[in-house]
Amino acid sequence: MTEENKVFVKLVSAEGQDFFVDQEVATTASNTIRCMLEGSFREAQDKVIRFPDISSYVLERVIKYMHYKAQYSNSNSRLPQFVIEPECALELLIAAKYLDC
Amino acid sequence: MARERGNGGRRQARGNVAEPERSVAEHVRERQRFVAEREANRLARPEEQPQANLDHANRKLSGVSTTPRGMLIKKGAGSNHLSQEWCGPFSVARQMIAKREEARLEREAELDEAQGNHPLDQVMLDLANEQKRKAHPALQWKSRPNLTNGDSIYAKRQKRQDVKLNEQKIPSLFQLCTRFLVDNFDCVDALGNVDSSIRAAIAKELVGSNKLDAQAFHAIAEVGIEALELVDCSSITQEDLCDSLEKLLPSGLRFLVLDQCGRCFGPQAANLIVKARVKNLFALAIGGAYVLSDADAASLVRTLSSTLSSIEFKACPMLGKETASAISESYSSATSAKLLELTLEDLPLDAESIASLTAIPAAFQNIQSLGLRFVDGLTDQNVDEILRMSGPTLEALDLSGNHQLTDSILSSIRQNCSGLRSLSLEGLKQLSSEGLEALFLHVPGMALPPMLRRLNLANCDHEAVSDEVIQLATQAAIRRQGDTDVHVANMLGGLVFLNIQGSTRLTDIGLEHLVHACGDSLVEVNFSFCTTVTDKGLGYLVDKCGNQLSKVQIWGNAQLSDEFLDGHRRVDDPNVEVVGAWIKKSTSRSVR
Repeated sequence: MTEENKVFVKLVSAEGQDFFVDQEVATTASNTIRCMLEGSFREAQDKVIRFPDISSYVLERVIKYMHYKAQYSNSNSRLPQFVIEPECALELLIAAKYLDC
Repeated sequence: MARERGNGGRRQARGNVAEPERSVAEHVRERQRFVAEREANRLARPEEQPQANLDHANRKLSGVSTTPRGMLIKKGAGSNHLSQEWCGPFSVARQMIAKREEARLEREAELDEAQGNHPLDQVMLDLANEQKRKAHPALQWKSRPNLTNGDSIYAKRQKRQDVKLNEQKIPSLFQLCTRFLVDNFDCVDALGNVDSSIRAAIAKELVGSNKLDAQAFHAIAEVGIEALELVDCSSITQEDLCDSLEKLLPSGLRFLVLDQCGRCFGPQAANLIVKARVKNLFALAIGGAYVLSDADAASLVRTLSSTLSSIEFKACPMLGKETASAISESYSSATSAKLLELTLEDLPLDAESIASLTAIPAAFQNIQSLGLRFVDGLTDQNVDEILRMSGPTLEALDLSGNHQLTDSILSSIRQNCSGLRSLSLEGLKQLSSEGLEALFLHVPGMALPPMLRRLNLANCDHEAVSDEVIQLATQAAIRRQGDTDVHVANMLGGLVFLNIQGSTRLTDIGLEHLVHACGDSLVEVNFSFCTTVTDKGLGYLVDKCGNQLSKVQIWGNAQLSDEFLDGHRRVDDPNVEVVGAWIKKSTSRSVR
């Protein structure tokens, strides 16, 4: 995929912080985001998705996971462990359940 | 032995030296001697390739090859040197087989001669073949040209698995978090405001890693939760459970699902629930409570009947008549809730208990899902009574494991259960194919056959599920009447789940019917141990069904080869799972 074709989506956390993620990466990782961006919703038109119940530092970890998955999906190299901090483990679990990723 | 005499006659006709008519025993001995000699020769000299010989063309030579499909024609002079007897059951058997083959070939030859040879014979044959191919599209299925021809079986299997594994190599974030939490669960005091499905997933993972002890249990069973769902409660003591229940019940517990309870759900727990007089318990499912007595369970049902709509008792060996009559009595009163779901599995209910269960028809008026599995006391008559009471509203029926039931339950199902969507008759060995055909046959004037979405006929008698049964069942599932060939889009349902494990009468024709009727709705199929299904039929099924087909189980089918496993349309699609491919050298067609 060439550089010019990359489309970015904006994920907005509960505190209003914006995160820009490659659309390809976000849709392969999360089923919920894929459905939001494929249907005839405002999210698909604006390319902005708001998460009023996911806080910034949890959303940051989620995006980290998306990149981790995209990077190691089709490669045969040894899979490094994805580190989860204990403080946000529970909230990360809830967010993961919501995003289906 | 007509053949021997015939051969002798032929020899004389050819003008050979007229030998004295040999006795039958001598013929046999000579035959066996020759065969044994030739086989011994072949085994003794493995490097020597067997010469290609046109035995069938040259009548002077022996036509017997290693497969028993040769023509045992007399060799002619030259084999007078037998004095030894070579008797072996194997060679005798082989000779018998060969004789049978020869008799068949003779019969065919006679038939051919009788018909004579018409120049247009070949054309007629081609036409007949063409018609057969049109009628059975499965015969024409060709697998994709595969690029793995030279690989070993291990390489092929690895390639097949790689497609699937690529999807699963990286665990999902949900799995990662669950595992992390479970590994460090001693640091967790409370889960907080977590959805009950997440709670259940954590509980399952805890059970899986054997970490569900008292402290973990307290974290899971927090005050204020709506559902307590535990897959395995064997490491929880009764006191712990009672303490938790005491706190949970008043604060709004609605679903109590405890499987493999063991000692933890006993008289103490039951009495506690009775005394608490809860008003919001909606579903109760208890499995494996071997200390729960009949009387306690009965009082439980009676007190909870005002709100409880779903009851499940599984493998509780002390339950019996009292519980059954409690269910029947309490749900027929005006103040009780509607019993929507009843499952009784593996309980020692005798005929008397079942009779008390079915005593009052009003109890089963609204029931939607009924499961009576592995219950000894069920008889055809009981089932008939139950279905008559519950039939009109019943949507799911499960009578697996009661092998004493016969075809007459099929007639009760047909007459009473018009709204049935899911039927499971697994393991009912006495059902016959005529009964099953009658269940699904459309007869004007009789109630319509059930329009099913899920059908499970696994492990029935191996001759019970035939192609006709499948054809009728699938046609009933889409409400098609008769054998019309109208290609209308199937908007009216169709089977989603089909399990016909163990049927030896299912062939490619049955699969064609399945595709024709339910190709757009089928999601999961199970054709394990169906020995008459071939590569072509299955390939046709996977190719023609839509992309919603996600699981095909084919355990124990040695006749399927790489032609299907590597050649169907969706080999590269990770969403389709073919489970149970035979692990052997699948390139050789040695098992037929």
